[in-house]
Parts: sequence; C-alpha cells; structure tokens
Amino acid sequence: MNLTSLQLYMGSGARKTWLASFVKENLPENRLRSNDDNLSSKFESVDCSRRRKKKQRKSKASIVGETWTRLQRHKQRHLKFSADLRYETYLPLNAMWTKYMEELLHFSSLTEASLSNAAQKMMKADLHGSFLTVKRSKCPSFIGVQGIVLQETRNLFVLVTPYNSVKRIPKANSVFCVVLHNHVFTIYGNQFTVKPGERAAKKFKSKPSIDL
Amino acid sequence: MGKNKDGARFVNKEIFQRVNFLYQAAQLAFRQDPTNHDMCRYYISTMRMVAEKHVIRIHPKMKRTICKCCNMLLVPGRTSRIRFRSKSETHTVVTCLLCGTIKRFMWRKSHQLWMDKPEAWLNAGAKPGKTS
Repeated sequence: MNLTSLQLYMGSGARKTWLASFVKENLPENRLRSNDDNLSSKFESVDCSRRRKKKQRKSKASIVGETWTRLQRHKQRHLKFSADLRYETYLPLNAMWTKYMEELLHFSSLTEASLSNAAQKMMKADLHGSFLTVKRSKCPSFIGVQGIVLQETRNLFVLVTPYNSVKRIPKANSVFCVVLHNHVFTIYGNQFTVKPGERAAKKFKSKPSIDL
Repeated sequence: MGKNKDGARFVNKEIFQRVNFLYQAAQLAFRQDPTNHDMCRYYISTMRMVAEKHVIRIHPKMKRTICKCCNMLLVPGRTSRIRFRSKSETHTVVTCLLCGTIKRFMWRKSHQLWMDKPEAWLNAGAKPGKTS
C-alpha cells in the first residue's frame, strides 16, 4: 500500500484508474477493503500527517502555564504603538518625570559650581517621559521634532509628538536637548548609544564631539 | 546599601530614585490602558535591569507585585489570581494570569523581612521610605 500511495503522490489523475485496477488485480483478497476504490482519500491522509505535526508544536508553545521562551521575551521588546495614540494621555507621565527630576537635581539650590555635578546625575537619570527636542541632526527632516519619550533603546528614542504621531529617532548623528526650569541640558546622541538600563552603570568619558 | 554608622551617606540614591520612578511609570501605564501589557512590561524590565547592574535590592513590596517570568505588574483580579492553600504548610499562591507563573509565600511566624529589621535603616527610624 505504501507503494501505491507514493505513486499517487507523484502521479497524475490519469494514472488513478490504472492504479485502482492494478491494486485489485495484484493484492490478496483479504487486504482489499470495500471502499478501496476511493484512493484519493489516502493521498490526503499522507499529506495531513505532516501538517498535523506542525500544528501540535505551535499549540504547545501557546499553552498557558508553559514557561516563556527567550523568543517570547525578545518579542515583547518590540513595542507596537496603536495608530490612535493620543499625546494627551502621556502628559501625566511627563508631569511625573519633571517631579522626579526636581527631586533628583534640587533646582532651587542649583548653582554654577554644582552644574557639572547635576550633569553627571542627568546622565544616569531616566529619560522616559521627558520632553525632548532634536536640536541638530545629520538628517534634516529630524531637526525640530519634539515629543515625549515613550521608549529608549540602544540606538533609538521613540517620541510621541503633539500631533499624535510616533517618531523613532536614532541617537547616532543627532543632538537632543531637554529644557527644565530655565536650564537647558544638551544630550549628544553619539555618546549616548547605550541601553537605558546599562547607562546607569557606565562611566562616561569626555570625548571631543566632532561637529556634524 | 549604606553603612550603619554615624555620618554614613545614602549610597546610590539616584539609582533608588530611578527605580522608584520606573515602577511608578509602569503603574501609570497599566492604569491608563490595562490591555496594553507591553508598555508596562518594558518599564519593569528596564527597572530590573537598572537594579541588577547596581546590585540593588528591590523593596519586597515592589518585588512581590512583579511577575518574575514575564515582567508584568501583578494586580489582583486583573493580571493575577490569589489563593490560599493549606496543604502541608499554609501559604499564599499568586498566579500570573498572562504566563501562568506561580509565586508562593509561606505563612511563617518566625520569618521577618530584612526591611523590617531596625539595622536595615540608615539612621534607625529617622528616615523611612528608602525606595518607596
């Protein structure tokens, strides 16, 4: 029977009838079944067995209770932002961030001498929720883009602009600035290409920034 | 952790502030849109990464509201299920509804958290609220 199914798999419809007669002639009677002339169903079963295996594997991974694989964890890093994203919903995040910065930097007691210290702190601070402006960039269309930072990756800032759109701006080759209580902090993107979590532990060296 | 002596400084204060901010941002993201888990997960995973890099202990109260597997905030009834079991030893079971991971908390009378002990504080009792 294996032979016949194999031939059917490769063969055409014209061969079908010939095969049916061949099987009837050559096979012993006890192996013939009543519905053996319906050979096409057998061909399907050969094909289905392969498909079923794949389906089972897929469904196993999605069972609740199974541990998350590395792949699933990797997937969650790529955030998908819905099209109807509103700028207004992220204003509370921005307000929270300004409070956090006030607590961190103590703006009332900030003098010129302590500004370098504040800059050091700013490097290790979190930027989620800050209102960033692209000051300079190699790509002219990025210049002047403003927005609240939603996500920070190694190479990207994801901003929500006041026009309710999401912009992904690469850190490399651009200069950002943050305005906080009449203080302007400038962020050189070229030296900022670190993961947000690892940035806190990194020691920054003062490199001469080559102008664009 | 700071040294428990007179004149000891609050070490890693900025990092504690950052951890605190990220935790609150995750709470805010969850409150605004409970169906959007990714945003919440992203903030929590960043928070854990920051804490890991500086070898900081996350406060147990915060740590117990985080799924250790999928980094989601565990809100009772919304993303987690809380049940009490008394087989062999009474304990609480918190199940994450998204990935099914279990957290177990024993009801041991002798157990005391490090944060509840007086020597954990910098100037005994003067300055509560290190991370929260």
